[in-house]
Amino acid sequence: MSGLMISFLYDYIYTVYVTLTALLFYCGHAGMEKVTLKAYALTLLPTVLLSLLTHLRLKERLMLIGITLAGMTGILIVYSVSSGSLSFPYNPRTLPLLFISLASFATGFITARSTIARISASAAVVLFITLTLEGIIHPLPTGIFPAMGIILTSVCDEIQIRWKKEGFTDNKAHLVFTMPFISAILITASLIHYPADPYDWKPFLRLRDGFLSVIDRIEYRIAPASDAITGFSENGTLMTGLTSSSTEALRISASTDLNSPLYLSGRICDRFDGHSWKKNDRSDIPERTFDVLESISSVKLYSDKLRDYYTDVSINVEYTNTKSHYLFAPSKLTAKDSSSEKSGITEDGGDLVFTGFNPYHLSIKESYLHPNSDHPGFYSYMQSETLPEEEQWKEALSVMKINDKNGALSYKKYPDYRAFIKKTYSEDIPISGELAKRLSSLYEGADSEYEKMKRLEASMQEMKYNLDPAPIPDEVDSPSAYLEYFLLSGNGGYCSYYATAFVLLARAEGLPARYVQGYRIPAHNKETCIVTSGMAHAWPEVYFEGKGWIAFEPTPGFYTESVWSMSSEITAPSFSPKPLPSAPPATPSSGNAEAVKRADSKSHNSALIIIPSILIIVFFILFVLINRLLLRHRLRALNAMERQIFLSKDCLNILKLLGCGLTEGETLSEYRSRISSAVMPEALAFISDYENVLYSKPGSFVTDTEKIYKCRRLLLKVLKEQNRLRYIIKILFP
Amino acid sequence: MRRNWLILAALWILSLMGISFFGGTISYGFFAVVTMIPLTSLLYLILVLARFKVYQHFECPEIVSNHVVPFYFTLQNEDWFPFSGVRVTFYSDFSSIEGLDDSIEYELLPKTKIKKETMLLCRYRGEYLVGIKAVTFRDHLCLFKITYNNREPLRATVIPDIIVLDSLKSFDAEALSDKESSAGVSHPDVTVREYTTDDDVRRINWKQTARLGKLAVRNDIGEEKDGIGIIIDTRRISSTPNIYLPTENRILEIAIALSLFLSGKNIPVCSYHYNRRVEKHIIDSPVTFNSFYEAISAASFEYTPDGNGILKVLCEEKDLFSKRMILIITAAIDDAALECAKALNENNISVIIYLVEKESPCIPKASVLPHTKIIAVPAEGNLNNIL
Repeated sequence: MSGLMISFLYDYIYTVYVTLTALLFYCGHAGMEKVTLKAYALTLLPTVLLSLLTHLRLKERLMLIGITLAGMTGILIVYSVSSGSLSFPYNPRTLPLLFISLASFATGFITARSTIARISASAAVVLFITLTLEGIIHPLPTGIFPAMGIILTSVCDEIQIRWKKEGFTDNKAHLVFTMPFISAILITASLIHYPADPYDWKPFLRLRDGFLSVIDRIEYRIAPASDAITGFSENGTLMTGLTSSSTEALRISASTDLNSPLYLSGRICDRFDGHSWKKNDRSDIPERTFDVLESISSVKLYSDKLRDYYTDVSINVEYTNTKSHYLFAPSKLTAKDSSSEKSGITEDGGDLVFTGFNPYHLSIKESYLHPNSDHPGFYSYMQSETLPEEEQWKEALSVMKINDKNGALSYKKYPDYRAFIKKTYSEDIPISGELAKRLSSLYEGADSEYEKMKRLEASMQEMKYNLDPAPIPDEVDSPSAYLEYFLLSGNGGYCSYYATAFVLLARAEGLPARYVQGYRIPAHNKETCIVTSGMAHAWPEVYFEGKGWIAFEPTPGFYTESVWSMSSEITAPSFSPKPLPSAPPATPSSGNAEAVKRADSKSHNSALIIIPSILIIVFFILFVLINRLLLRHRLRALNAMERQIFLSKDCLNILKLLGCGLTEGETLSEYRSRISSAVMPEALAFISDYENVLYSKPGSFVTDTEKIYKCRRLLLKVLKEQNRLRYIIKILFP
Repeated sequence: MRRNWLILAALWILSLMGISFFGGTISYGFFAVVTMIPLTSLLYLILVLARFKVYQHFECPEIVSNHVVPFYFTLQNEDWFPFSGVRVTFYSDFSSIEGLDDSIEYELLPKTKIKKETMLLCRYRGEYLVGIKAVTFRDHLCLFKITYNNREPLRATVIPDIIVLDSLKSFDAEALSDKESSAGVSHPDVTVREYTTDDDVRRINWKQTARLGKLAVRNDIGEEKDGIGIIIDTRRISSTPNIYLPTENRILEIAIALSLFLSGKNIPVCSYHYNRRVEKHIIDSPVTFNSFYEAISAASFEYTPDGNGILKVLCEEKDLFSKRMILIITAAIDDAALECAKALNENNISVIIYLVEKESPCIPKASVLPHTKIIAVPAEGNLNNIL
């Protein structure tokens, strides 16, 4: 392999890897799923041409340019004839691809010549891979292979350059001949089909989890729960000056997309002393189950479409780093997986509590009823005041797949449950003065208790949210005092303040209500949602007899509608008629129009042939002129002796074209005598001079350039007479 | 190489982390490429190993120790891929390649060959392997190194060097020569015999003729009887070539050097060595020296656990006692050598023992014998300064 070829291939190895990387990056960025053959051709061919141009001699460069122009013209002609119009096959992506090609060539050219450039290119590739993995850039995935090619080539080249060796130590040749091995790696790797998911590196992950688990457990044991930061707390005191925190607590994944927030109830409180909530309810009544049964049976009484009012959602709750003994579950929990039963969960006054162990890294599947609470139909449902009957109760038991053998959840127990709820969560809270006026104004004209609560919820939403409210004064020592202080001072507060106020106002209205602490998880899709301590929340729940507990969201800025279409609203899909495609433009039907079109087409075709032809002719003229100029310049640069040799060789070439070439082993004298009969002797006068120049001592022979020019002219004249074509070629390409 | 492995290991661990946390072609592709790098390098080296060709030869059929001979070797690549790093190592225990650093690595591009014309120097007499011992290959990424031991090594048969001594320091050869001339004066009665017709008349001893009444001719056997005997101890003292080759070489060099020197001084020399039988060589002319040199070059040393036997056999030669001086060249002074020396001393024959040892030789108790001199000769070094 010649040095020229090695030099070209060496440069091109770098260029091709850079070009392919850039191309695949661009295509990915442009949203293309794969690279077309045209795109490859448009980027790689110009780089081949440019690389060749940098390595060829001038004459060869000019010829290459000519061939390229001719080729492009040919392609243009073929394209134009096939498409029927003279136009460049322009595509919006053509220009970027050509730019990529030029930029890649320049980068590859520099990379092949500089160690710093090679290091920079490798660093750029590492950055490229990192950004791609992080999802910041989006190249086509196969872009990794040419990108790795840049690194491998650079490394291999640098090793060779620094390696002290003897023998054939041309690093360029070495890289060219080693390239099959490097390419084999990249091609093999690119042919493998890779999974889209991370490798399930179980031993590695188990090791990592085990290590982190030990650290977490130690931290869990020794770190006290801080009250002054956001996060779930078993302390019901309304504090001030909360610090925002975002420690991971739970991980939630749902079976469907959650379009509205998910409330995970943790601790339920029933008594408020003006500063903090307490829990007096320590009963073992299965309040949660009664609540779900009441809700289902009540809907069954109102409508046979349970899913119009409540939808069943499954979630998976994973405890990652929460310091609590409470099971976080939606209020209307319909089921939890059997493993959680084994975990020793008991019901404590409506709360679900782990007994005897910390829920560390426990994962529990839960199903719950999500209310369609903002649908007008739900309003109507809530306004109905009838209590469910035994028939609906049994249906509810059947829906929940509860086999109530001992009768603990029977319909007969239902009145007791209602009485218990009223007794536990009701309170007489006197309200007077300004606050009473405001509330009567707010409730005026309300059709139901539910509507009153919705109005109250909406009015609180307009208040001020404040993570750092002023401390509650010591004189606030009762629920009434708290309401007066909180609602009339205008200081605002965070969720606990609003939930407290709402619960107390609901109770003041005669409705059983409770204060719930837990987590509020914003709406999200099916992907796993990381629940942080910052998502800890408090909200009120109000008991509507015959309907069950309903959660409200009085905290300003936290309200999100929970609504979906009821079955009666879903009709067959209708399609609006699409506008018909516009009629094709009227084609000229007259014979004259056709003739005009043909004439236009003919003129286009003529132009297609004439313009490229002119271009080719112009190129040839330029080529001939430049070549002659260069020749003249070269001759001028030679000394007399060299010029004599050069012109003599040229004359010998002309003789060769005449069919009188010098044969191998023949001396110049023998040659002259051999051809003297075929060519006029005057034209052969240069041979003796040439012989003298070659074999005499330097400086001893006086050159006669005029003589040799005369011989040349004579020989050309003979050539012109004998073979005109060869003469023209000789004149054009001297 | 270690640095390259560390970098590769770091990249591999990174790629493992990549596939552990990210799916898709990017992370897995990176992992696949990094994993395949060493495999491809190894494959490359195996290819090089299978296709590499090395030729070597030296021109002289007979190599003399400590004399260089032309040595050629050719590394050849007849394939389409380059040989990135080829290092040639030579046998260096007993021979060396002059003017060539064997730490140099060579690179061979496709269809190329490197021919090196160097000189081979064999240091010891004997038969051993010389030239290319092994060829070490390294891959293009400097990750692996494979050494291929030459399965077709060159075996050289090296004959001992002839060292010409300028003078003899270990004993006075001139004086020995004088004693020879005065032998007839001191013991005339026992050195005549009856004249025979073939005798030269100039050799007639007229005094004895007058005394005996018949023609008596001086008995001229003194030059044979009274020359110097050289006992060459051909016991192999070890089974390790590194130990026995230098000492055997030096023993033969001493024998040859002394023989050449003494014969040059017209002192008759008779050598004795054991080569499956006791071989005796009289060296009194260039022709007899050449035959002695050939014989001693081909002498084989024998390793026997009770090696005293050979020297004992040699010392039992009766004509040893007719010599004026006995030179014993040995690699170990043991009971056999001492008894031999003692017996010779008792017959008024001086003994010089040349003790050759690889390490710095130490003179043993033998030095107490009255007419025995022990000269320690190291296995390496210039003999001119010692003998």
